[in-house]
Amino acid sequence: MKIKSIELKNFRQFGEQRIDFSGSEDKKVTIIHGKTHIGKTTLVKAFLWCLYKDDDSFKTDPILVNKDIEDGYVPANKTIVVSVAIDLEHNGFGYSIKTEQTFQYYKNENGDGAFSPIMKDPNRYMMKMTPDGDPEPVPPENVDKEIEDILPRNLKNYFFYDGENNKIDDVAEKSSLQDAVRNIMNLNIREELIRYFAPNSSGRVYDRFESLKQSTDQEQSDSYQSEIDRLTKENENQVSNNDGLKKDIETLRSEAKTLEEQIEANADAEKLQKQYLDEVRELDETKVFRDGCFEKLIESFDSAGGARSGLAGLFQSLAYKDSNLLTEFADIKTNSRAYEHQSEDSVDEIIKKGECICGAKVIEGNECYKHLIAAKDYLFPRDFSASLNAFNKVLVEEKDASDASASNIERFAIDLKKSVKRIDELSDSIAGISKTLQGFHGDVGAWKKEAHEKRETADTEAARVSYSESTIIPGNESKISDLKSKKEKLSAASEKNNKLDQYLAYVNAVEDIATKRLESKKTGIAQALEKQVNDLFHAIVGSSKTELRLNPKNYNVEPYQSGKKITLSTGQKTMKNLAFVGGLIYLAKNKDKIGGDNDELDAPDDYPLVMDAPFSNLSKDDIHRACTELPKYCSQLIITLLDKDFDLSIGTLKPYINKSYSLTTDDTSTNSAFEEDRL
Amino acid sequence: MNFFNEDVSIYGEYARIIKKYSKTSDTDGEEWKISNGIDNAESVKIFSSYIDCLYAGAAIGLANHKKISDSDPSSLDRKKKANILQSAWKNRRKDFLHLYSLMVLTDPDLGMDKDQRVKKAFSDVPDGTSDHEFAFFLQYAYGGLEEMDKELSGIRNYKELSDYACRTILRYKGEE
Repeated sequence: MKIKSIELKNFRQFGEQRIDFSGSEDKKVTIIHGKTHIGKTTLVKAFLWCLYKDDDSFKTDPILVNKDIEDGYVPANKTIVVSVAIDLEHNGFGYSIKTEQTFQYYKNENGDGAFSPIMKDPNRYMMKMTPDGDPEPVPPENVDKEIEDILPRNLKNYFFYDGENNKIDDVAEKSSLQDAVRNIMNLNIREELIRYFAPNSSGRVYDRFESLKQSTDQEQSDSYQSEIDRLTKENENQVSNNDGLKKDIETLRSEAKTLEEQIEANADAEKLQKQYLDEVRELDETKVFRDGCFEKLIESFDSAGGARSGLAGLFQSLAYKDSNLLTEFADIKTNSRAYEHQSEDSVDEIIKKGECICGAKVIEGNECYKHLIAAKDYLFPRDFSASLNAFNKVLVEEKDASDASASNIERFAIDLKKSVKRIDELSDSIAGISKTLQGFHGDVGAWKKEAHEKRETADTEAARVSYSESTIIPGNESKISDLKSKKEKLSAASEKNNKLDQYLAYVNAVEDIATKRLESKKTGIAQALEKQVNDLFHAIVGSSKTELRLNPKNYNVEPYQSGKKITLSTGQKTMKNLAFVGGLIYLAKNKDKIGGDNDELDAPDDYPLVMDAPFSNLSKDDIHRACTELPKYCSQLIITLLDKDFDLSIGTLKPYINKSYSLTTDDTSTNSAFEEDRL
Repeated sequence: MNFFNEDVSIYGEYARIIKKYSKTSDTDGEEWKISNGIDNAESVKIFSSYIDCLYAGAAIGLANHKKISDSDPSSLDRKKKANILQSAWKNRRKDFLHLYSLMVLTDPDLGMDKDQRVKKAFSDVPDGTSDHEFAFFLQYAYGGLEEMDKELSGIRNYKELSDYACRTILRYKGEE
């Protein structure tokens, strides 16, 4: 990076000023000198404001507006634009950076007024020149990044050096010193890159490769294979079983066909066999019926149920019927000697009294007595006509029972006779059929049954084969295919994981190599920085009595003499700081030569060194030596000096100076102006 | 003899007939065998007890007007014996008296007028103490048993048995 010019407008002590800086390799120094408070430090701060919008250093007087304007008459609400523009060159590209802020003048009721920024944040514009020289605006959101690439913000205090305050020391004791070295030497980038490859770095290369790994459960894979084997075996068994069944089906159907042909050829015999079987069955049934009839007939002959049943009842009724008792004894019923209301007892009573109702004497043996005795035969209970009537009545009643008994006997007898006849007929018919079928030993009915069973079995087995071929086997094949797919996925995952493991091994190797190179780099940097700082310090001091030891962890340097840490004077501190800044510039310029193997991150950087009053605390000899050594380290050196220091250093610096400006004011204004010296 | 109060024994030929057609535990009874025409003949018994057979015999004798009036009980073979228990007589007493009355009313050989028959049938009611009255009953019973045996013993198969039954029914109906 080289700063080509700066242009200031209404910035503090400056109205409208522009100066160019030396870019020559031989005469690389630009001097700006003047008395105190003329604007030397303001100029350095203008660089920082333009590049980083940094206004921290204006805390005591935050208003940037040109003092002349501020101190003069300002009408209310007047607006003033303050700006700083820098042209620079970096890595072959030209850049124009301009930062500006608009202020407005506000007055109170008393007429007192002050400027205040309309927008708190200044605007910054950047134009980037293409190699052809065509300007191209950099989008506002990219400006910070472009500037960080040109000169990182945390290096500003080293390359815009405030010699009056020895700021190096301040910052050196802070971590920013370490950051500065790391930035200059791109160690942060290397560490960041290493972090990308380091194990257990979330979201980085290693972690991403790990996260890409897939499950390769071997047990699951074995389980899939086992199931595939089982299903394959089952399908083989199914096919084999189906082949066997198909042969069986063919055999069964062939046998059934043979039987059916046999049945057809023996249709007559079948008819006869059927008739034979039917008649044999009927014969058996009829015999059972006949035996039943016989049993019942025999039972119906018995008269165990009383005189009215069985043969006894029949013949008793028959005897009664034949006797014609009612007709034969009809006159008995009307016997004139019967008295309906007299009884044997009443006659005995008369005999006992010895006098009849008619008045006749009743004496045993006389006519009256005999007459009464004879009459008793016709009186109750020896009322024979009544007994005869009752007897007849019983016999009539008995006839009903006898009729029922006769009916049973007749029915059983007829059934028995019919069954016997039928048995004879069936026996004859069966004998005839047997004779006809003599010599024919086949059982057509059994053949039919067998043929039917064979057809049925064949159909059942055919259905089983069909189900096996249409459902079981395809189903298993589908499952096998699915399982194979799952297994292949696991295998593929395994292969992928193997590759990822290889990648991870590469990542580990990269991380290992990068870490080693980084450590080597750090060691080399620390050694080179320590050497350069010591060399420059000794050269500026003019003695190597004091050794500056560099802490390789934070790059702090501590002075030692004879192995003991010492305290430096203010001038020595300034020289130490100058030596340190020189060392940093050396590192940036010689990246490609420090710390072993080099790569594109080690492309040399060239930084300008802008120093504000660096020799304030130095003696004439010190200034002489500093002015002799510093230009050797820098490509561009811009120094502001008090006139007295300018006078002391000009002699030594003159061979390196290309541009020299004197800052002056006149009596009419507080504004400072650059006036180029004639060297 | 009091046959309503004592066991009564039938001897000789009539005992043989009774035992032949009655179900009994005696093993010395003659068998009446009937064949079904094809299979072997089987032994057949009609009456549940001796008294049923004797009673049926009496009814058959009466219906056929067949009495064995000249049989001498003492001439009967005493080895052939069918013993009818007193309890059986007692149970069938009413039936016996009923049939006895019919015998008295219809018997042509008694030599009595109607009044005497009626009087004998209903007033001289046997009480089981008169051998004469029992002998009168037995005359018909023996006659009927002979008739029964004559008819049944000739039956050799089911057809003949059914023919006998049908003949009997035809006669009962008065169609023969």
